[in-house]
Amino acid sequence: QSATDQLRQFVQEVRSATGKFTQHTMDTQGQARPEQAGEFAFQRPGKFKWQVLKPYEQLVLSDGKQLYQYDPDLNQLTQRRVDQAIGTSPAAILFGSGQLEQSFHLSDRPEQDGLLWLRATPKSKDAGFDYMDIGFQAGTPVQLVLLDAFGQQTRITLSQLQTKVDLTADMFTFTPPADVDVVTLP
Amino acid sequence: CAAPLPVTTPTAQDEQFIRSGRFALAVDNADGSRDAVQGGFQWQENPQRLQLDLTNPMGTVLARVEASATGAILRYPNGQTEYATSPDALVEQLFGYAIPVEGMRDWLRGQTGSRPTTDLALQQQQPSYFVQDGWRVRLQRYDALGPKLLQMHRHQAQQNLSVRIVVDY
Repeated sequence: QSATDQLRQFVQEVRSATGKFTQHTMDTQGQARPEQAGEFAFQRPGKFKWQVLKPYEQLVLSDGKQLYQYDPDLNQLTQRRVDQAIGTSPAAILFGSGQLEQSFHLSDRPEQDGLLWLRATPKSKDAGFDYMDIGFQAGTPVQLVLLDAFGQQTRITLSQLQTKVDLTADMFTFTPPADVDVVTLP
Repeated sequence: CAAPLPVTTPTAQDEQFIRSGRFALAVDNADGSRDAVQGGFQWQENPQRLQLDLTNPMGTVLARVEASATGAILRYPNGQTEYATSPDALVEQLFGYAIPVEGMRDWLRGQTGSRPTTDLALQQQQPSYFVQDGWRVRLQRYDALGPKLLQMHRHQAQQNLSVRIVVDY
């Protein structure tokens, strides 16, 4: 089964999941940034959580209606309505449930590192990134490679994906510590 | 407008000053409305050129500011560019608020530079607080290269601006 078929099946059949990720970005001079590690969860439609834990804490959370961005070092939580921009973000490819192929062109790529690859290219030129490659193994996304418009490559490795999970609402709600500056944006 | 900037590759490695981290901007307007921006940054500077990348949590570059003696250019992911005389003017076009990028050339190094400075306080001979151009600046958590926590506040007629910068490496 091709990678594009595996993605379509994944988006169709996996309604919710949790897992871990590692992520590192390489710039055009090949200078790699320190690796980040954390946990993620999603529940279609529209709910996802991307929690960086190392080397610092940072949370991006959507409950389907509001998008929260919290950083304890920066002592700030921003909250804004989820808008269509989410539909064209990299997260939407895996976590979204809208018509994937309305926003992205999917094409199969050669097998590599034991994974079957596809390339998701945003149809809108304002998506902010050039493409995202996804490497599949037995129906599960294992590697993501995101190329932004400035030639920077972010490689994300997903692990411990649990798909037989029923996630309670509080997985996608967040209340910050009392002293955090909460800014609600229009 | 200014001639397009020559894209020079950075010179010798040691002349590079590179700092990366995260920033939070918060704005309080007189009418009670508020605004905020949070993101990551990569500051790469050598004697000829400054390149400031602004990124989102996924590491994607949302905008790039390049500044050199001839002026400053702002590049967007969709290829659109904007020119201005200084990086401060460009970041103001991007965010809508004046951010003291020129000042940060010195502040990120734990220096006050040549601009008029008042209320300078030092800790272990390093600037920990000072006021420049209306910005109240606090520098903390120094390492060999400079402070790793920078806080800047500016009160203007209709607006309170605060910028908090955490340097990760």
